[in-house]
Amino acid sequence: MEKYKKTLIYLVFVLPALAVYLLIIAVPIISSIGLSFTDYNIYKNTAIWTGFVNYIKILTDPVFWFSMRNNLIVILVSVFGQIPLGFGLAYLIYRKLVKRSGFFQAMVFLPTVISTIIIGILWSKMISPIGVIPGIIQNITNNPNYSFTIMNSKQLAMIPIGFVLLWMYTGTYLIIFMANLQNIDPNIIEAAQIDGATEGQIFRRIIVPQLYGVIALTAILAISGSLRSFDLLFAMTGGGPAYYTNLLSIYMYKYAFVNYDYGVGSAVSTVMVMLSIILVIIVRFVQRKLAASGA
Amino acid sequence: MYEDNLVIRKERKSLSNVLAYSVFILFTILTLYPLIWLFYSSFKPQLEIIRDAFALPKDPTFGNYIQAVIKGKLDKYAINSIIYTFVSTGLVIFLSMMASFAFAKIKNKATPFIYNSFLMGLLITIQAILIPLFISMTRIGLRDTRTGIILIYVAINLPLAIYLGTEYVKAIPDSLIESAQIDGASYFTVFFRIILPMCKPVMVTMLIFTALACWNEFMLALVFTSSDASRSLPVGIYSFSGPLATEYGMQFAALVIGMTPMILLYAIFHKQITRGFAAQGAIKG
Repeated sequence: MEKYKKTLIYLVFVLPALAVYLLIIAVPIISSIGLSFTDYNIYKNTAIWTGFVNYIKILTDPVFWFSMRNNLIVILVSVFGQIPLGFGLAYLIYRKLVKRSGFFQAMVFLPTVISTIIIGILWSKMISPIGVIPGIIQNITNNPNYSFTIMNSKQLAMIPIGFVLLWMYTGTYLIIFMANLQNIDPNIIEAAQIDGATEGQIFRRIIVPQLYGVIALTAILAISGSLRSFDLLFAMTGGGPAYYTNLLSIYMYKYAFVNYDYGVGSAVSTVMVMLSIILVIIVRFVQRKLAASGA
Repeated sequence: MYEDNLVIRKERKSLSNVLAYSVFILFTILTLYPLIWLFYSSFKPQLEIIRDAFALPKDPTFGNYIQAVIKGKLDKYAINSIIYTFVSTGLVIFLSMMASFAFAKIKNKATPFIYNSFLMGLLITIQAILIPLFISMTRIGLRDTRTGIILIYVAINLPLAIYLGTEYVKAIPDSLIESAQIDGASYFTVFFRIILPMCKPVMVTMLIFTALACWNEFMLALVFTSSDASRSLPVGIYSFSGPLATEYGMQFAALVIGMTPMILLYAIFHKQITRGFAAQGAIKG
C-alpha cells in the first residue's frame, strides 16, 4: 500500500512534464518517420503508402545534395572554426595575457544573446548596397566599382556565411572552455613550470588532454546545433540566390510549407535525424579512441 | 645563462600580450561596429540611408520607430512575445522542478528510462517535429493560437531544464528530506518548503535559458502562427525585412527594438548568463 502510494506521488510529479513532452516531441518524431513513407495530403487528410518514393526523390535531387554540402560546411566551420577559436580565446584569458578580460569576454559573447533572426537580417543589410561592407572593401582594395557579388557564386556563397557563424557562436565556446580551464588544478601547471616545461609543452601535454571530454562534448553540441540550424540563413539569404545557401532545414521547409509536400518534407527531416545520430556516434567513437590513447 | 632565458621569456611574454590584445580588440570591433552602425542608422531618414551608408544621421528622426510600431505593428507582436516568454518560462520552471524532484528523490524503476528520454531531447533535430505537429495542431485547432505556441515552447525547453534541475536536486542531502518526513511532512510539503527554496540558483539558470530561447525563437513561430493576434516579434520583424523590402529605416528600428531587451538582460545578468552557458558544457549526454 505504501509503495503504491509512493508510485502515485511519483506520477503526480512526473506526469505533467512527461505528457507535454510526449505529445509535442516524442509522438511527432515517430509519426514523422511514418509520414515520410506516404503522400500525405493535408486538405483531404489522406495518406497512401508509397514506400521509398519520397526518399528516392530527394536522394536523386542535386539541390538536396547541395544543401547537404552546405550543412557539412556549417558543421566544419563550427567544429574546426568556432571550437578552436573559442578554446584559443579562453586560453589567452586563462593565461592572463590580457587585462579587462571580463569586458573582452562579454564582447565576444554578446552576439549569442541576440536573436539569430535579427543577426541574419542585420548582416544581410550590412552586405547589401545600403550596408557598409561593400564600401569597406572598396576602400581596402582601392576599387570604387566593387560590389558584393561573392554571394552570387555557387561555390563561394557560403564564405560570408561562415564568417557570420564564427562571429555569432565563438563566444559560447569561449565561455564553456573558460569554465573548464578554471577547473584545472593550477598546482599541476606550476609543478610542470618548475620542471622546466615550456608554454607549448604545458598546453599540449597538460591542458589539452584534460579537456578531451569537453572538446568532444562541444563537438556534439556543435554538430547537432549545425544540423538543425535554420534561422540565420533563412533570414540572411533565404537559401538563395537560387539554392546556393540552402541548408537541409531550409530545403525541408520549402518542400513542406511552400510546396505543401509533407511526405517529402518528412523524408528530409528523417534523414536529418539519422545524420545527427550517426555523427554523434562518430564523435563518441573518436573521443573513446583519444581517451584510450591519452591514458 | 639563467638571466638570458628570463629576458627571452619576458620578451616572448610581451609579444604574446600584444597578439592577445590585438585578437580581442579585433573581436570587440567586429561585435560593436555592426551594432553601433545599426543603432545610428535607425535614426536616419530613408534618403540618407541610401545616399551614404557610413554617415551619421544629419537630421535624426524617431520616424522609423513610429513607423515600425504603427505600420509594422511591432507593439502587438512584442506583447505576444512577452506573453510567450513569461508563460512558457514559468511553466517550464515549475514542471521541470517537479519532475527533477521526482527523478532525484523519489525512487522508481522507471526513472532511468524516462530521464534519459528527456535527455535525448537535447540532441533532437527540431525540424523532425514540425510537420506532424503542424498537421495535428491544425486538426485540433491549436495552430495559430497562443496556447499552441506556449505548449510547443514548454516542450522544447523541458529537456535542458530537467537536466539542470535533476543534477541540482541530486546534490541536496537525503537526510534533510528524511528528517522532514519523520516530522510528518508529505512529499508536497518537502517539495514546496525545502526543495524549491533551495533550488533558487538553478531556477535562475532555467529562467535565463528558457526566456532567451522563447524570446528569440523563430522557426516554430514562423510555421505555427499566421495572424497578427499570435505572431511573435521575430516573425513580425522578419515579415517586413525580407530581401525585397525597401523601408530600410523602419527595418533598422525594428531590429533595434528586437535586440535591446536581450542586450539589457545580458548587461544585468551577465554573471548568471555566463554561468548558465558554462553549465551547458558540463552536460554529460
